[in-house]
Formats: sequence, C-alpha cells, structure tokens
Amino acid sequence: MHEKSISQRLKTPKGIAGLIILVFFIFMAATASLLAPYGPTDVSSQPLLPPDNAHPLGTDDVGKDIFTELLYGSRTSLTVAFVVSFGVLVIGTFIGVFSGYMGGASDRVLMRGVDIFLMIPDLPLILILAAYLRPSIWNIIFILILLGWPVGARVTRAQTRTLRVSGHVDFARVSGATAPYVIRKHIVPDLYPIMVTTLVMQSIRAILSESGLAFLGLGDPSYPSWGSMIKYAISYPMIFFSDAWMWWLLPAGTCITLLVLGFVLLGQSLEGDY
Amino acid sequence: MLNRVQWGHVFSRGLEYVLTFFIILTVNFFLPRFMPGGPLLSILGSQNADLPVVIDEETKYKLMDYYHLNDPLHLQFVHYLRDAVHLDFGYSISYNIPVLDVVLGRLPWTLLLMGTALLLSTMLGIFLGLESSWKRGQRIDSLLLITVPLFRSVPVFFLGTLLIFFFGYRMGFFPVSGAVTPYMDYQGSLSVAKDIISHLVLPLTCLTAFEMPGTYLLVRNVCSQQFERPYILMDIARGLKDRHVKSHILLNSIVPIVNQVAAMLGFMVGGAVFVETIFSYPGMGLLVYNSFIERDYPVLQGAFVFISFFVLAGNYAADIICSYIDGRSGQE
Repeated sequence: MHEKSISQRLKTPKGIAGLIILVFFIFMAATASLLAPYGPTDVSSQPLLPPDNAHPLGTDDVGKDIFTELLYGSRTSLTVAFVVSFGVLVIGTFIGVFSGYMGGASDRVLMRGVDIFLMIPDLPLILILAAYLRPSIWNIIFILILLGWPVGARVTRAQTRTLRVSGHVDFARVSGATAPYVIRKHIVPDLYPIMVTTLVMQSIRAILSESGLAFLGLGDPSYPSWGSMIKYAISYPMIFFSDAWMWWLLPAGTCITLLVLGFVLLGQSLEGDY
Repeated sequence: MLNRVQWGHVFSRGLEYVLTFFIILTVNFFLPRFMPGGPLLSILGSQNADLPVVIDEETKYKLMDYYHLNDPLHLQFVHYLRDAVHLDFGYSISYNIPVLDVVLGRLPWTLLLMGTALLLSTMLGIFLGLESSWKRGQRIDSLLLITVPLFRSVPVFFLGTLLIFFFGYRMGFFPVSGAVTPYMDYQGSLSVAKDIISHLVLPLTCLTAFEMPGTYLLVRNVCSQQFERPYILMDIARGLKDRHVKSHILLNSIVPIVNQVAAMLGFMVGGAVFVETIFSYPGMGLLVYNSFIERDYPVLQGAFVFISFFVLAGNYAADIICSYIDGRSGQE
C-alpha cells in the first residue's frame, strides 16, 4: 500500500497533540467521581462564592461547586460524542455500502433521500422535534443520529463505488465470491480510514450540538453539561460586572473548545495532506 | 446564455427541489400528528397542569371542526397543502396575529445578517484559502491551518458571549442587543444607517467567524487539487504573473466552491439561530428560538417551512449559476 496507515498518520505533531487532548478528557471523565470534591447534584455551599480551597472554581448561583460540574460535564460530552458517532457510523456504513455496492434503482432512491436529508436545515428541525419530545439525553442522541447518518452514508457510498470497480474486487467476484463475502473481506477493510474520519467528524458535530442545545435550554437537566453551565452563567445578570465570569463562564467554554480542537487536530492528521 | 441541454438540467434540478420542498411540507404536516399529546393539547395545555383549561365536549368538537381535525387524514393533508400554497400557516399563539405577518416582520433582518455574513465569509474564505493553497507547506499556510480550525472549535454561542463581554461591556464600542435603538430620534437616513450598522457589527462578526473556517478549508482543498493540472505548468512556463495564475485557479475551482457554499446554507441557519439568540437580533433565528421556548407550534413550523424554502432556493440559484459558468454541467 502506498497510502499511509492510520497509525502512521497519527504520529504527526498534530495527531499527537489531538490524542493528548482526547486522553486528558477521557481521564477527566473516567475519574470524575474520584477527583470531584462533591456529588454532581450536591448543593454544597453558599451561592456565588469566589474560588477558595473548598471550591477550586467557586460556586454557581444555586450553590453547586463549579469544578465538580465541570468534571462531570466531560462525561456528558464524551458519552454523547461516543454514542452519536458510533450510531452514525453503523447506520451510515450499512446504508452506504449497500447503496454503493448494489447500485441501480435502490442506489438512486437512497441517494436522492440522502440529498434531501442533507439540505434540510437541521437546527430548526431539531427545535421542532425537541418541542414535541421530552428533554432527555437519549432523545438528543436519537435526534443527532437521525440527522447525522446521511453524511456518513454519502462518503461511504462514494468510496464503495470506487472500490467496487477496482481490480481485486472484480477478481474476487469473478472467482465466485458472494456479495456478503466480498463486502466483508474486500470492501469494509478498505473503508477503515473513512470510518475513522467519520467518527472524528461526527464527534465534533455531536459535542458542539449537545452543548449548543443545552445552551438553548434543551439539555437534559439531570446531566451536568458545559453548555448549560454557560447558559446559567450568562443569565446571571451580574456576570459581566464582577469577576465571576473568570471562573464560571470561561472554564466551561474553554473545555468545549479544547475538546473540539482535539478532535479537529485528529481529523486533520488523519486526512494526511495537511 | 444557457443552451438546451443546460436548460434541461436546470429544469430537472428544479423538479428535484420541488419534490424536496414537498417532502419537507409533508414532514411538517405529519410530525405533530404522530407525536404524543394530540393537536388540541397546545391550545388547552396539559390536563395535569396546575391550572387545566376546563372545556366541555361540545366546544371541543367545535374547535376540532374549526381546525378540520375531524376530517380523515388525507383531507386534512389537502387542506394543509392548500393553506400552505396560500401562505396561510395559521395564527401565532403568543402574538395572536397570522404566522405570515410574524415571519415577514423578521425576514428582512435575517436576510441582512445572513446575506452580509455569507458574502463576507465567502470572500474571506476564498482569499485565505487561495493564499493558503498557493503557499502550500510554507509558514503562512501552516499558520492559517492552525488558527482557522481554532475558530471552528470555539462554539458559536461562547464566541458570541466573549464578543459581548469584550466589545460590548468592557470597551463599550458596540450595542450588544437588538437591531435598532428603541425610541431613537433619528436625524435623517444617515443616522438610521449608522444605528443599524453599529447593531449589526457584533452579530455579523460572530456569524462570519462561524461560517468562514468551513469555506476556507473547502477553498484550500479544491484549489490544491488544481496544482497538478497541466495548465498550471503551462501558465508558469509562459511566465504569467502570480495573480494571473491565481485567477486561473480560481476560475477553475469556482463551480465546486459555489455548490458547496450553497450546500452549507442549512448549517449556517443553525449558526444564525445561536447568533440571533445571543445578540437578541430580531430575525428568523430568534423567532424560532422564542417560539420553541413558548411552544408556539404554528410559528415554529411556519418558520421552518420559510427557512427551508430559502435554503432550497439558495441551492437552486447556485445550481443555475454553476450551469451558467460551467458549460459541461448536466452532460455527464
């Protein structure tokens, strides 16, 4: 193979930086319950305290420890990113490979459907769906997968079309291999780079959407989220007239930015040519 | 102008857009009917609420009749489509005026904000992307490749908040909410324009920063592919100036760029919802957000139809422009 393998691509400065950021947040999410001084729903002290020893980042307007919320927020973001990107990957790959390999009328119908899906402005539709559904983390994940799979299907299908007419696939087919065998042995393994890119891109989209929806007030109130932390911080009227923005607003926003940046760097290193 | 093959292409694309719009209308029709709760719930409120609206069976029946809800589903659908063609999307629950009037009042502001942002971000994206691909692998390219994605990583609502804080509160350069100063006593049209522009600056910056990185990466990608083409070698061999070679590259990549920028319109609408919400800019985005918070279903759905229409129209316009620029389109 002339192409660089996934691990070779990750060994660039950008790939390593991205991996370090990602590992940092995974560590943060995994050890949240050990590191956090309080429980995620504890009202631990007076509201609006500045940072001190008991509260490294002070407390918010109802007296919750901001540092604890920040730690648990990483769990919500990473869970949503993980489930949504895998959901999109599975459905997108399945439909993309089917459509690309079979070709013909089913391919045309499926891709027309994908085109239509891709053109619908998603945020207004998400708001409509959310207005009818209950605010729960699983509904958000469901909506994000529902509106995300066409992107995955599109790229997978394009690559499958290219692979289907390549020499080794033709040879396997002529030698009498059945469609499921060819797909399993010769198509899907060559789709791995695209799959990893899909995972990274969908994670970015999921993290930004989840925090954005939480910011707009569609979040699941029982899961701490960086987006809703920003929402509550700026709805506190004095936020910009005191120093509270430094430990209330800034850390949550920085966390989202950093996590997304980690994925962006990973994505850039995977696409190689940067 | 366009030849016959191209007209055929434009026409068949048009049919596809009409079909897409019809599907969006259908989704819009069936969504509330398949959701739990029933259509009258939004009028009556939940019966488990603290103050349930007490309503007798006869009034209920009359209400259902008034909204054609006693008809079979397919008749309801025909009614709905007929109303939609007449731009009748019902009455807003919270404003108590027709949805059309609410939407029409908001539309100009969104067109102003999104149109300017689209223009700015596309120009900036093309400029930076072309420059970046021209100097591939050099210092300026790697610098742009690190800083531009950073903009992409900052969530747009956080960026907006920071802009409000630094330029609105700390420095006091620009007003941070609304589109005009309320009850302002204007001295001539110049002061009106000044007021509108000063309100536009921060949301515009925010939306442009949201949209630009995507365009930049796209332009860089498309233009980079041009460098292997023989005509570039020929250009250089002929000793053309850099800016002439660049204009050749841009002309050859403009079709995918126009197409892709139009395809990102739906995504940009999402950005506009956040930006307008943060800056209280009275456009469609804020309308969608407010009607979501107030559960003003007719407005929410009417606004969705209008937004979809404009996004589809934008895509169609891009298709027509592309077949005008590129004589080959529709001939595959």
